[in-house]
Amino acid sequence: MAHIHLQDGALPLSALLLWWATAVILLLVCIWLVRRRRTTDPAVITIAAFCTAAAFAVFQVSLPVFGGVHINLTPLIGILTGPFIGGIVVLIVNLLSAAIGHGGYGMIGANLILNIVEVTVSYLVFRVLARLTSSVFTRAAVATVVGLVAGNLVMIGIIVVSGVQGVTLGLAGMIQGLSLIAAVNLGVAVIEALVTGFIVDRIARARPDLVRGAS
Amino acid sequence: MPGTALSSHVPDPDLISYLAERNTSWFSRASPWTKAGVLVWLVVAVTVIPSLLVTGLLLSVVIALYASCGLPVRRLAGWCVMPVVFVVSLVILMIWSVPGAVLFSLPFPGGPVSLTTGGLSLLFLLVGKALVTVIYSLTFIMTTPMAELSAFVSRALPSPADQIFLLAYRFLFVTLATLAAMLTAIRARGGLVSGVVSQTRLMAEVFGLLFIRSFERSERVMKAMQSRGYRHDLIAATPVTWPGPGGIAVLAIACCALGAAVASGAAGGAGI
Repeated sequence: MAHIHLQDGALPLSALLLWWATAVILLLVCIWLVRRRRTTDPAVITIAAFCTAAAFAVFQVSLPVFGGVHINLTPLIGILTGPFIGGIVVLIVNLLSAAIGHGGYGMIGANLILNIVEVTVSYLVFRVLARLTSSVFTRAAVATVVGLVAGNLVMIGIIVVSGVQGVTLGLAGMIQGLSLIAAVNLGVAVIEALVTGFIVDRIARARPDLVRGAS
Repeated sequence: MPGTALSSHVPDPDLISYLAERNTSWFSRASPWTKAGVLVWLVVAVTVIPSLLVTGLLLSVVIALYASCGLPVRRLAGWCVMPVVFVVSLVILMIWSVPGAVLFSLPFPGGPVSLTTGGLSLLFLLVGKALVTVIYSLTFIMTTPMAELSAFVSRALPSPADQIFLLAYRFLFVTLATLAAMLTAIRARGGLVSGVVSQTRLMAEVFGLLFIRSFERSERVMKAMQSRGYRHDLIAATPVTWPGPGGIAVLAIACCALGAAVASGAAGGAGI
């Protein structure tokens, strides 16, 4: 998943407060909708909890591709749990990640926004593509790429709007630098798309009940 | 089952839990609310203080705190690698042409770019700030028993987020152990195959299997819990102690000091 790897102290306080406030509103909407739709039954909570644990575990493994890349499978979370439960799952993954030093606590708000975008976009694309193709692999892979591209755009937007403390680069320079990072991220997104495609395909074959709209 | 450490650069949850349960240092007896309050204070402090000197002081204090709690200092260096790499990989693109004495210049299509003392200081500052909260966070979770931490989180998060957190923690160790076992099995059978697609496919098979196995295992746990009366109301009943007079005093003094430093500009002002 796209993840703003800046730690605490990089963004100004006003920006942190803005992103945290936005993230809390998004999260409250997710929680409200989850409660309203009565999807808090134990089975859904179990899927969400195992998605959280598995996503956190997978994040700790460096894939031996291109010298080693990390993936977090946010689009997979979206595909398996939907955007609302997915929003809660990414909150907990971000909290656990911050606890062990992967991303600052202050950055959780900003990261939550872009992760919720990834979860939502991936989920929607996966569902919409069901009308165009029956291949679960293709749907999951395309949904992942589109979700991660959206996440990367949000990441660039958040950093450009916030600015990094002490950095004197102009808007053009910052966008140039961030575009380079986004390009690298997109390379990783292709890997993540293949991984997610294979995983969803495998889960859909072994446990179709876990993938909504698999058939 | 093998341990859950998948990399020397990522803290091992088994070790964290072990230390959290066994730690008897003075800091382990502090209220989780006090520890969380200090964490919030540190996040705000490193955000508003632009001084390399103050950041260095804060870093020294948290390292001293970490060591005084009897936590593994040698492992800390490995665990700090990832946060440092994350900061450097992003900030390295932004430290060029910051005002200051030029150290060296590189030719670039749009004109030469220079690394200055200001740029280098900025890099050290952001790395230092990152390490302050990372090391304190590790100290926090390695000195707070899981029962207390769970109770704290379940009070801080609304339902169903608290339920997902508590169950995720329950499944985490099994999931990590399963993943470690699968990776060991792959290595035992000759390691990873060559080729990007083959490697990606192999890892995807591993992760897919991990998801399915973890889910089936968690489903069994869930059914066992339901048979014992679980109705999505997992409660962490451990009492969480409120901050004592000492904790409140520390937080109050810290907040006043930070407020005064920011108001007077003594926290570093414009200079790094």
